[in-house]
Amino acid sequence: MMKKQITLKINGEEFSGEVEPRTLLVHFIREQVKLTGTHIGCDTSSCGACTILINGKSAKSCTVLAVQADGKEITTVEGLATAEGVHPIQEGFKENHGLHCGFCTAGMMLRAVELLEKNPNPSEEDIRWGISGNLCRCTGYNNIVKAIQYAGAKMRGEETPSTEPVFVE
Amino acid sequence: MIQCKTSKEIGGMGHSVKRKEDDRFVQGKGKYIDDINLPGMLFMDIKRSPYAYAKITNIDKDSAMAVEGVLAVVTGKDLEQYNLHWMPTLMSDTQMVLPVDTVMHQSQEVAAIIATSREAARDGREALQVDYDVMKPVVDPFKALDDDAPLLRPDKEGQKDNQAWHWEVGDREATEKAFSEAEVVVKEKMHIPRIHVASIETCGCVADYDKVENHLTMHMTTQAPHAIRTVIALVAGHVGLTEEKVRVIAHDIGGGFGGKVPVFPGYVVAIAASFLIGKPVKWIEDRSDNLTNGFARDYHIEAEMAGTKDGKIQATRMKVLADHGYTDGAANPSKFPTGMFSIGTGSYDYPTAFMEADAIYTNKPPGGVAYRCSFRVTEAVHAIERITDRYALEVGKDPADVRFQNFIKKDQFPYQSPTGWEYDSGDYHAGLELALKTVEYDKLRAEQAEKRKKGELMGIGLSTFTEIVGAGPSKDFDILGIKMFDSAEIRVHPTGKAIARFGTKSQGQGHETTYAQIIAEELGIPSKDILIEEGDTDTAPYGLGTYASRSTPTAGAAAAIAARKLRDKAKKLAAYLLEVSEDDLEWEPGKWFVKGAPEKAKTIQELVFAAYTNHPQGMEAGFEATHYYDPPNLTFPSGAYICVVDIDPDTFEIKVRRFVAIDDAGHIINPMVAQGQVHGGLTQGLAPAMYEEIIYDEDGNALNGTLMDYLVPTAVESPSWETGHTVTPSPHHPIGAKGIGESPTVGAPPAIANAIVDALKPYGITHMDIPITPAKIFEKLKEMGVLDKDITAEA
Amino acid sequence: MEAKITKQFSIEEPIDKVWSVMSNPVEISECVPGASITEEIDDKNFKGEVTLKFGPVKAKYDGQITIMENDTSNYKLVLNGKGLDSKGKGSAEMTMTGVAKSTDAGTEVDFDMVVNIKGTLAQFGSRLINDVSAQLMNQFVDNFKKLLAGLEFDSELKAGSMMGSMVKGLFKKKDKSEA
Repeated sequence: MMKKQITLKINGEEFSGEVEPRTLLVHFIREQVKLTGTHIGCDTSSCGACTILINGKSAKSCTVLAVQADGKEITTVEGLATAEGVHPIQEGFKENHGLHCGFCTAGMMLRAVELLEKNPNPSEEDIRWGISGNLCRCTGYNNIVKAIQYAGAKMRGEETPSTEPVFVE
Repeated sequence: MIQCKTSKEIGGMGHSVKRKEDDRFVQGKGKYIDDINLPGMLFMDIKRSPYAYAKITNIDKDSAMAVEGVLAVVTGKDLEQYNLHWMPTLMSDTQMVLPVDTVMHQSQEVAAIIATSREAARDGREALQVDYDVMKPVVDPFKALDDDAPLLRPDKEGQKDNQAWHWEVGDREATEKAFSEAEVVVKEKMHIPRIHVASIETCGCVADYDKVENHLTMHMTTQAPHAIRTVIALVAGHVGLTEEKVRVIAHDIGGGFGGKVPVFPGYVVAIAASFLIGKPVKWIEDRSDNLTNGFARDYHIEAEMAGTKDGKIQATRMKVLADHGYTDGAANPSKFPTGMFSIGTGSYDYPTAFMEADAIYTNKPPGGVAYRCSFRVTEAVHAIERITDRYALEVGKDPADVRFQNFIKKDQFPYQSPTGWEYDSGDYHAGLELALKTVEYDKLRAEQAEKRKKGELMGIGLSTFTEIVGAGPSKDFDILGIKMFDSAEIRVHPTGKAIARFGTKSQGQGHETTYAQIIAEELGIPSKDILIEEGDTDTAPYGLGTYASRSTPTAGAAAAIAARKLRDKAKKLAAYLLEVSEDDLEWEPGKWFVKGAPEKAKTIQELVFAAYTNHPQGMEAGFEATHYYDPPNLTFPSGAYICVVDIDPDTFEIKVRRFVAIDDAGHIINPMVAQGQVHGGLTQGLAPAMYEEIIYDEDGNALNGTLMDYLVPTAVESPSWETGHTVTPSPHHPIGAKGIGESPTVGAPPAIANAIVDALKPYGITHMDIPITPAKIFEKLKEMGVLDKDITAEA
Repeated sequence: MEAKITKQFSIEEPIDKVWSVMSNPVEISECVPGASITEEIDDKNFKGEVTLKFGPVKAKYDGQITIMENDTSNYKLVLNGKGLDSKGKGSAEMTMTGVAKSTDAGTEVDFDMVVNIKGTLAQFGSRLINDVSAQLMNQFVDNFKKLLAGLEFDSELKAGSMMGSMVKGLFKKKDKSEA
């Protein structure tokens, strides 16, 4: 099959590669760029495990052809942390037990990053609708909501809410 | 309620220690099966049958071999030469690896295509021409025993019909007598439908056979690596892959829930392909392959309850038709073909019960392995909790009152159940009282009465369940003959830091954090200093794996006892170093000190160092311990759940307004992790109650084999869960813990179903099968002819 | 999985003219969207191909068309087509019964169609089968009328527009209920 040369920026680094026209962006990222933090959970863009940012907007990379990403700027989970440390969303997920198996986490976090950029102080309902394109099978979502609220507070420069679990007594 | 004996620094039990594994997961550094890439690795895809029941008349290998990059096509006939075309299931039935002539369900593996890339393997799958003679499948288990039904398993000697087995427990005659004499008898037919765990990561493996060393390394998504190694050796020992030549490694697993317990044919074919070709072979299921293979539940239950007019339960009877697909591919302990279904007498004190089950072969995929549940407990709990509500309705009592009236009382434990279990401990009254107080039950009932007058549909549902987990005691529990113990091995290094290895395998449960807390609790070494490792059969001690909420009851207990062995050794060292008698020493987490002279103490770190540098003559050097824990009994966690729903009277859209879950899992290791398990389990309880079901049409087509149609709840459907605990320790477990991960999945569906049925009470509805959807309510009301009924008149 | 679609319509043409088209397997097949006859085996059996598209999945079936009943005295035709997807994704079978009745205004025609699909298409297309089958029927009837009237028609499968018209159909229903 005819291959096509593409060049894109992934997590700030330029990357060129040859791809078949049918190659999905997620396969390009995982197999050619060898960044395996982006996962594949379905084939129908239902689960969101493969969510990345393309030019700052979240996209399900299993539904984007690699050639469509030519010339674009991509952020994957590997690009969230900086020299100063992890991104507030990563801290939020860890501190609030927003993940169990970790498989959906990358996609969840990248989706949340865009959500918080557009809506820095989302309500619980905003968050639940905002991540409704991403499936998590382990957590029951309570703590994902908490994690995103925590990251929002941190990004707004406010005091972060308590991460202690709350029980009815 | 949850108390800590250790300091925060030590981080033993009861502390909400943040999870160690999360640093790699939040940074994309988890290592899942599809992240394994080996030099020279080939890719495998599997051609699957479009038909539920058909004879294969021809497989035209050339059609796939013509695709660039395709190296081999493996069929059942190829495997037959090595006698690898079939394998035993964990229930001692037989399952095809690849079919030689007949396919038994849609999506069954037909042939494997090995290629140089994932794409080429998929192209080969598309190109491979297979011809079939299509036959009429047996889809409905109730018709499977009809005279004109084809015999699906003529390969099984003596098999004359499509019944796989019959099972029963309890006292049939006494139960019949109790029912014939009872003032009140209620009965409902229920279907607990076929569902799929749909972990976000599908199943897969990289089989890496080394021809020179005659050694197989099997990287795979398995919840039970050791058991798998033994199965591989049993299946392939005759071609040289004996058990010492097999290493199974389970890396990070993207969710298991039981779906990664079975040995799927894909694994075996990948091993065969790697064995024949001599290169690593990767196989990763796609989502549709995943959803249309394996399943959970699919029990048709007739549940009956007998009791007095004033609400005292006297007996229960349950009759099950179990649709197993074409083979019994479940993973129950050998002696228990229906798993722990016999827990279905529930949390109630009555002397008489009888249960029976018939397993049926149909043209559907095999499975029957749990969906976040201990061996069929969910089916049992659904039946008893639904029929208890039905009984309450019949005798005109509040379902909470009927439960209080019939609960086994705190002082009756250990309690002998009429189906043969010994419940270890419980305080069911306390749990339900806390749940009722939290939701303000009386206020809700008053609100409901007001709403009914206005024709509004509001329902309150209860579920007060008893689970049975931690399989299990070796006298009764084995899988393929291997007793269901589990293990822990602790090695403490000279500087006081440790590594501990286990026979279990976390799939998100957080073992790397919580096992370390158990050891910290017992040994006083800070949990952050203890590295936990699981999943590699070359390094971990033998164990049966993680499923059925058994990790804490078995391996967790093993960790505590191994740590206690080390604490005893530390005591000997302390006596030696402090020059006192062992009897004069007292333990506080992290140190041994002389009674009455706390300044005369040795920390655990000092004692460990001494074990390597200054141990007394005659004592074995080093600081290591291993324990294989054979539990004396199962553990019996319980819960009291209350669900409040509002149903739109026009569209019948169901909204879960509140859900309160009070669990009793004994002592809690890490409240944050335990709560996370409850949250997740509740959403997986909501799922089958309202959304999930794999639907088969009359031709055996699976009609919802993608996540577009198989409705996994999102954050929008999932309500904000409210959770809490009562703590009734298990008296026989070393740390008094019981297991928590599955209780919510078990307890939530009947609470939700009971709430919905309660909301629809004005229409005269007494039962609805899950998943309960708006469409199902509409159809049911239409069928009953009450769609336009004025329900305000009922209030 | 199975879908049953029935359609009744009237044509201002005499029954003999209608029947002459209805009972001609080649002509009637041409009216089925996406179908064509490729070979005549005998006067009752033909080889042909049918393309079906359900949402994201497209299948091309190579198959056989058989005239089960061709009853001129009762103006009744029963036609069965069955085929295998050329990519091995499964099989499809359709039985179409057409009955013509003479009326004052011309001819009344009843068609009923039973479509049965096994395999991948059933798995992916279950939500769509009724709507797609209804669209197939509508397009078929439309083509049939055009053929009778001697007008050009397009026997290509209009899968894309099928989805489009389904969506439009949904909105239309809504408009009506609001009106």
